Amino acid sequence: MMAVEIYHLTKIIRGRTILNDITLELERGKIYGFFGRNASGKTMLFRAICGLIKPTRGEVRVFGKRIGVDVSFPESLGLIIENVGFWEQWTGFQNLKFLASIKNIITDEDIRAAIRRVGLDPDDKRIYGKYSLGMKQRLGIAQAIMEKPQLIVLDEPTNSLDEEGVGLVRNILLEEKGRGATILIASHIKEDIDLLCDEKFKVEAGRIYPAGSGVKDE
Amino acid sequence: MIKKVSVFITAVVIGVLSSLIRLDFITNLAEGASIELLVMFTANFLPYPEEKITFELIASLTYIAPKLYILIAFGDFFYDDFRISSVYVFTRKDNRVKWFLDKLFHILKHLVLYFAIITAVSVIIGFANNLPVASVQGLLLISSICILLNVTVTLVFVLLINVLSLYISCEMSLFLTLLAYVFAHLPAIVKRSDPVQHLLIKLNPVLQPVLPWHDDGFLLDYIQPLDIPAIPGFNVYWSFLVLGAYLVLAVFVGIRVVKTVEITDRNY
Repeated sequence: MMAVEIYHLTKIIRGRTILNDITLELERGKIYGFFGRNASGKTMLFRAICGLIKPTRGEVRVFGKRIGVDVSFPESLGLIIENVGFWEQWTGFQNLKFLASIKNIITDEDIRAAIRRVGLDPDDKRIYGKYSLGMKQRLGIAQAIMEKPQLIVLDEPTNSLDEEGVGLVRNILLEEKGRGATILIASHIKEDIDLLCDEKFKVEAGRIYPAGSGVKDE
Repeated sequence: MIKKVSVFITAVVIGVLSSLIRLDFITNLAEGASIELLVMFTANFLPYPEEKITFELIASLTYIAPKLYILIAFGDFFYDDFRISSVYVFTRKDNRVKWFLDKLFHILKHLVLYFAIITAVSVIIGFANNLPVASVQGLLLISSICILLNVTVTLVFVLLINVLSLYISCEMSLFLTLLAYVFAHLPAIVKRSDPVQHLLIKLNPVLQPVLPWHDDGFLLDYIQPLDIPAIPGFNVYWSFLVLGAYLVLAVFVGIRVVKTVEITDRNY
């Protein structure tokens, strides 16, 4: 069974075609990279895969289940999408503990381990509002991986990270792939895509092209 | 957590203030003062409009203010998840409807507690001021009805604010809903011909909790000595039916909206 199957996915918002008849099949246990200009449709594609938007036409299946029909959201999903935050008045651990309590499938020690894994201190008493941009991004990655999801969807995962942070995240993603997770990354940093991804796709004007398919890579 | 504590402390304060204000009114009655009446008048009384415009500031405040406060306190209950962390919260739920129902029951639990505190405080103040209990069964019945009617009408409006906030800004949805909520009280202020007045009151969600206008037998025992006119056919069953219909509609619309609303970057 494929991890993600997308058939003729089209999304039109206010007359503007954001995603245009995308068909794509992604295997389990691989890292897929999506690159392209801002507003090319990368984030909207990820939102459709995660069940956050409804397609105008077409179908998305994750692990065989139709998103928006069989399930509202993929059943085992970790993600980071742009412009999403945490509760400012809570510490990093408190934020992740609250989110973990929704599914209730991991322990406090699992949460602490995920926070340590991204180079943060789970006992840090600083509230999220006092975190630097890099720390916020690291915490976002910790929440995406803490429940050991089968599908990890990351929109610009190395944004705001310093060199050490970028290296750390790259290693984490390779470890997650080793665990069997399927990982989708959208990034404008070509090095991220080149170093990590088994397959690469260029997103342009709402369409998807395999890298090297003749459409100019940037 | 801080919000919850402050809401319940406010419930105690509102209960104490409203009960003390109404206690004065109750004890000035020639006869029939009881804890049941105090409970009824603390958060469930508005004067029936006898003149072209009838407006009693104290009665209006004790009736409307507790509900306005809780509407404002829970007005951003859904929006918080959307604005702050929609993606992380939503995708950890089995489905959108479950998220909505979890929220609904969470709000319901808090509303019941909020109005139960106000009612309990008015009972305690009644006891502390040596008011008699005319009937323990009557007290329990009236207290339960007061709580349930207030909870149901408030839940309808909390849902309205929250569902609207998924389309327009949270502040605007709060403002519009509160405006509609306050304007809906007009049939309690402006006098019209009795049939029209009665119809407007009977169909109006915000006026269902005004217990002294109901014509149930167990209420008339308390109300008749006060010379407050009961509205024919306006009874507690009717109120639950009307509010139940509004609530079912609000829940149905809420589920429809939550099932279809798109989580994009608009405002969150």
